[in-house]
Order: sequence, then C-alpha cells, then structure tokens
Amino acid sequence: MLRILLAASVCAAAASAAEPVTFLRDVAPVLNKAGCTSGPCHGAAKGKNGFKLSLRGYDPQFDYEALLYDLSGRRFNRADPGRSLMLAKPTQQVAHGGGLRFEADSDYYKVIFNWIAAGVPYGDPARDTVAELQVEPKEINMPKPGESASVKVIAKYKDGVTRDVTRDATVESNTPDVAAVDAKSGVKGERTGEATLLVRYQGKFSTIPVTILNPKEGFAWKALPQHNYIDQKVDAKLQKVKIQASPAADDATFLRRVSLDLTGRLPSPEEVRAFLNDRTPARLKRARMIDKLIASPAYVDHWSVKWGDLLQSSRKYLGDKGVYAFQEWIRESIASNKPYDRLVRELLTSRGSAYDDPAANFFRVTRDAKPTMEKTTQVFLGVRMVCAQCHDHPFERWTQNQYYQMSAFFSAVGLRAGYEVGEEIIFDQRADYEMKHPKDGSVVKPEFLLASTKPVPIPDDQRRRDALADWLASKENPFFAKAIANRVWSYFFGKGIIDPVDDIRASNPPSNPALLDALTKDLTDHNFDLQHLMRTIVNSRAYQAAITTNEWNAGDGINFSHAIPRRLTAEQLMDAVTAAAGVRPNFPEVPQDTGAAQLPDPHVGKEGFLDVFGRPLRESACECERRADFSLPQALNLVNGKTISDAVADPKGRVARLVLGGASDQNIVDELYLAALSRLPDKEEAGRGLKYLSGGPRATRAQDLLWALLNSKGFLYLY
Amino acid sequence: MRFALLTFIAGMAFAAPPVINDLQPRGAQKGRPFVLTLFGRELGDGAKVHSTLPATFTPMAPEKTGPMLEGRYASFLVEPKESLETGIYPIRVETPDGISNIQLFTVGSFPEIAEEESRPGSLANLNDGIEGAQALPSPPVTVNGVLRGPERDLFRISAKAGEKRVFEVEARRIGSAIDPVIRVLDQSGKMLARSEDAALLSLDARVELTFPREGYYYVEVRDARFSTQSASYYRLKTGAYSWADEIFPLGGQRGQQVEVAAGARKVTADLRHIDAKFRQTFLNLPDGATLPIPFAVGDNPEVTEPATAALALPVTVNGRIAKAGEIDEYSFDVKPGEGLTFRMEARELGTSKLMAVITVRDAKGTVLGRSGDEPLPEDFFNVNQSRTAGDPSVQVEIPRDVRTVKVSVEDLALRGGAGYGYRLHAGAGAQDFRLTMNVPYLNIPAGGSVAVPVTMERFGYQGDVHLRLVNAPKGLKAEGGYIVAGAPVKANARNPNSRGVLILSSEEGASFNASELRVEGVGKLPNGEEIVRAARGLGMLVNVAGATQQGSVDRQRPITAPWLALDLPAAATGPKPATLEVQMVSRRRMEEGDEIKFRWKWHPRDASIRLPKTVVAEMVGAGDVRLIDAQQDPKDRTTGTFLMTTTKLTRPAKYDVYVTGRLGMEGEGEEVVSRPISVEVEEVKALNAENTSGR
Repeated sequence: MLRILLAASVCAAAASAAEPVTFLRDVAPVLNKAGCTSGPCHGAAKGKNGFKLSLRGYDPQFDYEALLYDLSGRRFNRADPGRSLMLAKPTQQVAHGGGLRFEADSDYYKVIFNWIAAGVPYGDPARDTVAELQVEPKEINMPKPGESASVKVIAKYKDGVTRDVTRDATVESNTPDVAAVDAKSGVKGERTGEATLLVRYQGKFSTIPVTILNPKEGFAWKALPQHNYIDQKVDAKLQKVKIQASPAADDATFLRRVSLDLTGRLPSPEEVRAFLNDRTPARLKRARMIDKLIASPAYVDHWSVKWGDLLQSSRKYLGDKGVYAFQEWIRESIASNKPYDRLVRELLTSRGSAYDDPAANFFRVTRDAKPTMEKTTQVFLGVRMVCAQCHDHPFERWTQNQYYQMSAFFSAVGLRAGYEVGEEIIFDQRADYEMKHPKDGSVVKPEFLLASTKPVPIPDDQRRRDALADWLASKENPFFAKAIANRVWSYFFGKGIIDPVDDIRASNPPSNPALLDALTKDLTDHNFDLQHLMRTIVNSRAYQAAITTNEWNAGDGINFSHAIPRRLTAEQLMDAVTAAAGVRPNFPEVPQDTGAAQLPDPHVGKEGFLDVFGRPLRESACECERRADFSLPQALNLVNGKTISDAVADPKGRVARLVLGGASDQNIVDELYLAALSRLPDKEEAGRGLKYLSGGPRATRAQDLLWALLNSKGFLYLY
Repeated sequence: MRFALLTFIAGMAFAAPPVINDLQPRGAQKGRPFVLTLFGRELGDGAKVHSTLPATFTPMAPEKTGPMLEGRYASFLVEPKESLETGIYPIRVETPDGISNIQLFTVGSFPEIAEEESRPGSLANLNDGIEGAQALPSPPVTVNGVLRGPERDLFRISAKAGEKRVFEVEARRIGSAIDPVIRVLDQSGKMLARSEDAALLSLDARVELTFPREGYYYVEVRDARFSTQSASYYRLKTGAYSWADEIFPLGGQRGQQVEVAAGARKVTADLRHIDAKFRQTFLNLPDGATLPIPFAVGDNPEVTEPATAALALPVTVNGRIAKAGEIDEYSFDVKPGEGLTFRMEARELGTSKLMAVITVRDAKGTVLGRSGDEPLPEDFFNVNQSRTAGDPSVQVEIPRDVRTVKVSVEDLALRGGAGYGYRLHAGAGAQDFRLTMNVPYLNIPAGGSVAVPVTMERFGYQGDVHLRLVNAPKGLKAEGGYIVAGAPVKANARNPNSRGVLILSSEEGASFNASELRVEGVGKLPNGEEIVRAARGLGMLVNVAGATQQGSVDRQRPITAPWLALDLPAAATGPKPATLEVQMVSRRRMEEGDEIKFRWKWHPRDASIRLPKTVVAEMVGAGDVRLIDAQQDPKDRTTGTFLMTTTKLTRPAKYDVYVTGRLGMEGEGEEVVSRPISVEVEEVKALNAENTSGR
C-alpha cells in the first residue's frame, strides 16, 4: 500500500491565527496522516502501549476522549503546550515506540501546538466534518505508458468551507503495475491497461479511473457482428481503450464451452457430431443449442452446485435430512426458474420447520444475527460488511453502526430443536431479541444500509426481516440486481465486471460500468429471470469469442475482448472424466450413477478427487472458497491417481466398448477425441493417434491415448 | 476366534428366545387368505403367533430344511376373519423359550404385488433408473418393496390425460426405518410432484396429481437420507382414492362418540368401549383405502373452540390455529393458591404440525407461565423420545386474588392452517410426572436378572420416585428402581435425575407364563400425599440407523408403538451361561466426594465359558460420577474390581448400582445383568479420610 504525499501544495491546515483549530477539522487528519491511527500503531484492536485510537480515525469522538481522558489527561500541558506528551512523543523528545512521526518544526507540530494552546476544542460535528471530497481530474487518460499526472483533493466541510487537503489525503492505486502513485511525480503510467485510484480523507472516499493506452500506431477498429446489447457495450469500451476483439470461436469450441458453462457436462460424441453437421446458420444453431441446454436436467445439476456453495448447503450444518431437503429446494427453484427476487425473499422470510420449509435452512448455517447479516449482504448485495463489525469499514462508507443496524434485522431470528431428531424450527423470538451495540450495550434498531427510492416501513416488533426482504430484493435496491448480474456474468467469463464479485465497493469499480448497468436493467426489466440473463450472455459475441488473441487484445484481461481459459471445476472435471471414459459414477452412500454435480454436499467423497481439485467445504459464502488453481497434488492425481487410471481401464468403459465392438483405429481415435475434447482430431493429431495405436496392443494403446487426452490442457480447461 | 465362540454356543445349547427379523409379505389385501413367513432366529417347532389380527394362523411345514435353516423361518397359512379391517397389526411369536419382538403387518384394500428387485435371489439395483423401472399393473395396487442401501426404486405407470392418481408410501407407520420420499417424474425425468413427511402420515409420503397427457410416468421411492437400514421395507400404494390431510378434533373423551371432520368428510369416532389403558385409537375412513388415522383418547370433559365462557377444570380444549399468526385464547376459572397444569398435545399426536407456545396470564395480563418458545427438554436417556420432547406444558401456582386465568395458544413460528389442531389439557395439580419403560418386552432367564430402564419426564414434580412391579408372578423379584430427586430438565441438560432402572430377577427354577408386567412409579408430594403413575410401554422398538460414513450429524428417533398400549410383555426363558454379581468393597471419603470400590464376580455354569475382562457399571441417576480403574483379577478371571468416584455435584441420595457384562464376541453374545446393590451418597462436608468397610 502506497501512502504518499501527492503534491507539494501549500498546506492550508497549518492553522492561521484567524481560524480556530479544532480536533475534528485539523488534528484528526494529522493523526491519520502521521500514522498514529494505523493498524500497526494505536489503531490496532488493542491499541499500542496502553493507548488506543480508532482504526484510521473512523471514530473521532472516541479518539478525542482517549486523548483527553486516558492517562488522566496527562497528554496535554495547556500552560506549556510544547511540553505536552502528545507533542513530545511523536517528535521523540521522549521515547516513542512508534518512532519519529513529525519534526518539531513541522506544520503538523504547529497544528497540535495551537490546538492545545486553544484548550483542545473538539469542534462542531455540524460544521467541522467533511461533507464531500472533490477530486480533480475526474478521469486520467494517458496516451502511452511513462506519462504522469497529478491529482488535487478538496475537502468541503459541512459549514460550506473548502480546503485543499491534497497533501494530507491518501491516494492508492488498485493496480500499481499499471498506474503507480508516487510522492514526487504523482500518478505514473507504468504499462498499458486500466487502474483505479482511491482517494481517502477523513472517512470520505473518491475514485479516479486511469487508462493508459497502447502506444502502438495503426489501431483501426474493425467492427465485428454485434449479437445484442452486450456486444455494443463491450465494443464501446474496447474502441475507447484501443483493443480489438477476437472473432467468435468455431462451433466445436462453442459447443464444449457452452455445455460446460450451462450444464457442467461435456457434450457426448453424438451431440458434437450432430452439432457440427447441422447446416443451420451459426447464430440460430447456437441459440437453439443454448435453449436446449438450459432446458436440460444437467442445467439444474450444475446451477444447484453453485447455489449450494453460496448457501453453504452442508450436512455439517443441516444434518443428513436437512441437506437433501435444502438441495431439493434449490433444485426445484432452479428447475422452475424461480425469479431471483422471489428466491431470496423465500430464504429471508422462511419460518417454521426446516424439514417442511427447506428455505429455512438458510438460517441454520450461520445461526446468529451477525454472521447471517454478513452472509446476506455478501451473497445478495455483493457487499462485505465483516470489517465494520469492529470499526467503520476502512475502504468503504459502511460504519460500525450500520453493521449492527443491519444485523438487527436478524436479531429476532430464533432456532429451536423440533420434534423430529435433527429437525429445527426457525421462528421470530417474542422477547429479548434486540440487537445491542458492543460499545455501550444500547439497543440498535434495524435500519437499511441505504435508503431505497421506494421507502419500506420497518415494523417495531420482531417480524422485521420481512421488511429487510422487501428492501433487499427490490428493483430499487442499487446493489441487489447489480450484484447478481455481475456474479452470473463472472460464471461465464471467469471474471466479474466488478471483481471479486462479492466485494462491490466504491474503491472496486466495474471495468465496464455501462455494461453492468445494461445487464442490471435487463435483469430487472425481465423480473429477475436468471435464465433470460444467462441466455442473453451466452448468445453474445463477447461470450462466444475465441481464445485466440490479436496484437491489440493480447494483454487485455478485463474487457472481455477474448476468451480466457478456465480450469474445469472439481465437479465438471469429475463428470467429464466419467463421461469421456464412458463409465458410471460411483460415490459412496448415494445411488450409483449419481454424478459429481448431483451430490448433495461436500461430505460425499470427502478428501477424494473432488477435494483435491478445489471443491469447497461450504464453510463460507465466499466464491473464493472454491479453488481454481493448479497444484502439484492435482497433477500427481491426474498422472498417477486411481480416478483416471480406473476410468480408462474400466471393463465397461468407452475403450473396452470400442475395441469389443470392432471399431477401426480411425474410429477409436475420432471417438476418443470427440469424447474428451469435444472435437475431431486434426490431421496431425489423427496421424499420430493412428500411428500409436498400430504400434502395440490396441486396447492398451487406446487406453493410453485416452489417458493422454484426459491429461491434456484441452481436457482440463474450459476455453 | 469367531468359530470358537460358535462352537461354544452350540456346545452349551442354552435355550434362547425367538426373534423375528422380517415378515414376508409385509401386508395383504383385506379378505384374502395368504401365507405369512416369519424370518429370524429360534422360530422352530412350537412357535405360536400372537396377534390382534383377527385370523387363524396355521403352521405350515417348512419348504426347505437343513441345519443352517433350522429355526430361521416359520410359515403360517393365515385365514382372516370377516371382521378384519384395514390397519396395522402386531405379530409376535411365543415359543417354550420365550417371546419374540413385535413386527407390524399391514392389511390394505388393494391387490398386492412384490417389487421384483426385492424377491429372493434377484439382482440388485434392477430398478434404480428410468430405464430399468418396474412396470406396474393397472391401479389400484400396492407394491411391497425394499430399499437396500443408498438406492432409489422406480416404477413405471401409464396414465391418461387428466387422470387423477394418488401415490402413497407406507413405511414409518408400519415399522420400517425408511423415511420415504416419493417423486413422480415424466418420461424426460422432469419432476411433476414430490412428497416427504405428508400431513397425518408421520414421516411417510403421499402425492396426488393429475396427469397432463397420456403416456408413461415414473414413480420414485427413496429414503430421505439414502441411509442403510435393517428394517428397510415400504409399501407403495397407488390408485384413485380419497384421503384426508387434516382431522379435527384430534381426539375425544373416553366413553363418548365424537364427530370428526376428516378433510371434507365427517366420520364418527366411537370411544364408548375404549379400554382405560389406551390413550389413542384409530379412525378408519369410509372407503378404507388409507391406513387408519391416529385419534387421541382422554378422560377429561372436552370442549371445542370457540369457547368464550370461562371453562371449569379439569377440561380438554380442542382447538386449531386456523391461519398463520392466529392466537387462540381461553379463560379458566381458578382458585387462588391452587396448582395447575396446562399441557399441550399436538405434535406428539402425529396429527398436528403445531409447535405450540402456551402462555398463562392473569386478568391483568401478567404472565404467570409460558412454555414452548424456549428449548424443549432433551433427555439423553429417553429411548422413546430420543432427546427432544414435542409439546410444551406449563405448571403454575395461582396467586392470591386471581380467580380467572387466560391461556393463549399460538404456533412458535406463527404458522397455521390445515393440520394445526391441538388438544389443551387443563387440570389441577402443578406436580406430575410421566414414566416410560425403555424396553419393549422381556425374556427373564431362570436364576438371572434383567434390567428395565425407565425414563421420567417431570412436569413440576422434582421429588424422588421409587419404581415398583405391581403384578410380579411367583418367583420373580423386583429390586432397585430409585429415581432420585432432581431439578427440571433444562435445555440440553442430560439430566441424570430422570432415569431409574428396575432389576427383575427370577429365582432358580422358577417358571411363569408369558404375561404383561406392570411397573409403577411412586412419588411423594410436599403435603405427604403419594402420586402414583404407571410406566408406559414402548410396544415395539426398531432402531433407525443415523450415522453414516459421510459424517452425519443426525441420529433418528427409534420407532416405537405406544399405541399398542402394552405394558411390559414378559416371559420366562432358560438360564444364561453365567450370572453376575456386584458387591461394595470399601468406601473412602475424599475432599471432593467418595471413592467407592466395587467387586464384580461371574458365576459361570460351565468352566469352559470365556468371560469378558471387564464389565459395565452404573450408579443409576447419579450425576458427576466417574468409573475408573476397572481391572480383572489376574489370579481369578471370574472376578475383578472397579472404583466409582462421586463429587460435590453428586446429589446426596440412595442410588442403585448394578453391572452388566457381555458373554461372547464383540457385538454378539448374551448380555448378563447383576442384581443391584444400594449405595448411599452423603453430602460432602469436610475433608474426612475415614474408611468404611464394605458390605
């Protein structure tokens, strides 16, 4: 994290005799800038050396009282301010574990000196609080790397006074290797790409997008077909940043990609052949295939895994019967294309036995009000509130008070054992249900994170979560539709327009705001129809783009100008192995032929192939729990593990059936390529395959060929 | 080693009572004779069937014989009498060596067929998918099937467009450990209907649907957990028949006739001749296609909501939370100073989904008592209830000047509608208790002992209870049976003060006919009056497997049949290979409690018997007791010692101590129980290293 002084502008904070010095307006910024309130110093959870300040000064009242009353007020010598501990420590006139924070002749020293001399006034929050932060420029565009720009930060206070706080504001880049921030030169373009600057001052934030264009000459935008509004928005951004999109992928690649993305399954060799031989115009043919896949049972399997992850469906929390019931509820919701707002509403307002109303299992996972609120905001709003439990969010507007106000919506939720063993009843408590603030134990009434354009009344009794559902799952909520649109998008591109998808905040802006707005509007216009959203996305040219790049988009990773390979998820991979090898899945304690995507939770097949390949344990609602990395244990498992070796050698498997059925060598090679890679081999691949088969025992060599294909990147990745 | 044991058991040839593991078939169509085969152990010559099924059971010669089959099965030609009604009937066998467990047999009204996969010698997983689905004949029909491990059974049916059909699975109601789920699928595998835990069906399932078009459809039956159970049978019933998803009221007063709404129909419950020991009967719906519906029987005068006037005690109020969020309220005339109990019956009846909250207030609205919104009592020891009780009760002492109380009833989660009926019992006495025996039946060995664990639910009564055998036949002696005083069972409290063990010992050579033993508990109220309650019997006990290799956190409630209103069926059986004895050797007073040394002693009937190295000991109902240092005597393998330590938290009282040992290999062999000894635990006052000699 770079914290720098941006410009050597004159510090207006050096108090003049005419302006009264207050803690709020003048001293608190000094404490922040000097690092006193930082996490490693007095802003730590337990403070430092007996002195505690709020983290990054989020609570000036607390800090002021700490300074005034800790050590019995001995931090100030009002008769001789220069002998105050508050000045002697940071200037190291007495020993200070935090070292020298500023010199005795600095402006910071003078500010504090004058403040003590004036009698340590706190200031008037109605006047001395920053109301708004103005930054200039609003956007930085550099024609090539190596250029610089400066930033100016103006604080506007509640009394209307403005002050240039450039020197004291903190500016950080979210992608320093694209746009670096330096004290001397300001913002410097390091390489072609995009970054966002986050400007912070006294709890207020502002962002500045930075674009560094490709300096190469000769860019001429070549228009590609636009299938729908997605392509218009993507192209508009690409044109602006001088990136040329890749054309659409071929039919075989498209079929494999869209099958895996929509259903988690590989197309069968027969389906591949039929699709490739279909002479219908490509867009129409692909659209029909998309409709077919969305209507298939495998679609339900695949998306049930995703929602099972997000809702943490696991017998660890829900028991055996509960996990099957919850899975069935999720499956039915997906199969019936339940509108997303209704699905969320059912989860948040569910009551009664979790056996009778499986949506109530939502509350059995997190159980307490605070983690339930954190899960709710993270999953449905894409907002991470967890930091605000202990202090105001350091990089976002959310305050600790808001954390408890939002938690109060769930504070009445009670869980009690039901009559059947393992059954739990979710209900609204009738007494002692108020949320208490950790600071003083005062009752915190529920309040929405943001005011809605359509006001929702909050009842004064325990049935308050119904109001939360009304507010949260509404079209007017600025986060709700956007969060799911962004999340769904990420499932098809491997990256959200805002990424990570569950960390939406001002300092993490969308890479293409117009695109995200359009997706959000489309979703709300279609009453939260997620199938419509998916259908629109996968019909776009942007989704169907080839993985191959050109000279203009090779470095692009955020503008969706070409496809980016993604490793198959654990379940996709397991089911792909099974399908390619033509064997029956066989997991313990579920019926035979239950595929990996049909398993109820991560307890089935625990510590096996699926876990090695990153299946989440569903311990958290974060997308990050599912690993998409590639590791040595995975490589060893693929090369030496029983899963692959047993599958290729299965006596009823594909190889055995081909050989016993009298298939020719050419037929075997073609079938294995179709089964594993969803395409026919090219001429060279076919030739090498045939040569290998003819070089020894045919069955063994056919198994080897399949084994090699299953270990190839073409099999392991979605592209 | 296993061989040696078998040799030993065969060589010793001790008589063993019969056991029934399975029935084939599990049910039959009303009015038709059939062959019933019992599978199990010790079912050889002389086995007589005891059943409430009105039929004659004529033994048939075994089709197959051989040493491995001897006593393993017995077949009977069953000729039902005309009075036979649709329902569930217990089947028990008695031989000269004792009585068996009960298995339930079902009489239905549809033709019966067997699932192909469940036939002996059939291949497994024949009908686990749509491709292999077993075709069913035209309805109505009942299929007798079995779920072997984690599988699903699929059946193919053909239906016409617009045809309405009911699919119902009978499992838990008929004693199977399956918790069934039923799904109806179209040809593409798309689900059209699903049911799990249907109204009035316990954990069983039922769907009714109208088929959208003519063609094949598929019915899937599976267990809700894909669990593996020993009792894994089910009966899939399909046809066009009427059924009810609610009855109201849920019960009536003994001696009366009660009109009951069963769905849209009215039926009459005739309670005029219900024996006093029955707390439940069954209602048969007119067409007899569905199994009879449980119907509670009480002894209080009854009223049915609405009841606007103040009610006199005792009374049972039949009500229903008719819509979500509804709160019912009743007024009762009371006397200042009297103790009252308001007890809810709803979920435990099996005919209501209500998780009730009851609140008792005075006329000013002051809450005198409330129950149902706090965790319900859990009891680790209670086999019958398996941890969690179902319905709340409130005990109140009426304050001075209060002559009317209002009692409100609502659902914990503010639900309501069909299936949310209840019975609110209001009566005098703020102290009561309920006893349940945790064994369904006994075979008492000659010269040996058996344990009868009894669980106690306290309703305001916190005193001691002493269990006693009311109708002991000659030669049978009851000992022990102390349930010490205790605090109320609180949330998650594994309260030891709610359990007693009565030990029944048969004199050497004593013989008595099979009969029902009655156990009572006697408590003493603060005013000196005795309170006597009979212990309820389980009727039957079928364990339901819960834990799985996948890290299950569920345990399931065992299946019992208190509706059989059996006390404790018992019979004499032959002696066990050994008897067991326990004695107190010494007691040492420690700072924190006592350290008591005990000695166990085996008395084998044959010197060649292999004896276990240790035994299991229990100081019944004593909290904070540790058993340590159990060791076999190195010089005499028939004896050994162990220490029991008590602490300040062990309530001073008189406790029963007894030991059990298992002869044979792990999980097999015979459990032998000692006679109890009485041990007095005194209050820990000060360090006292005094030693006392054993008795």
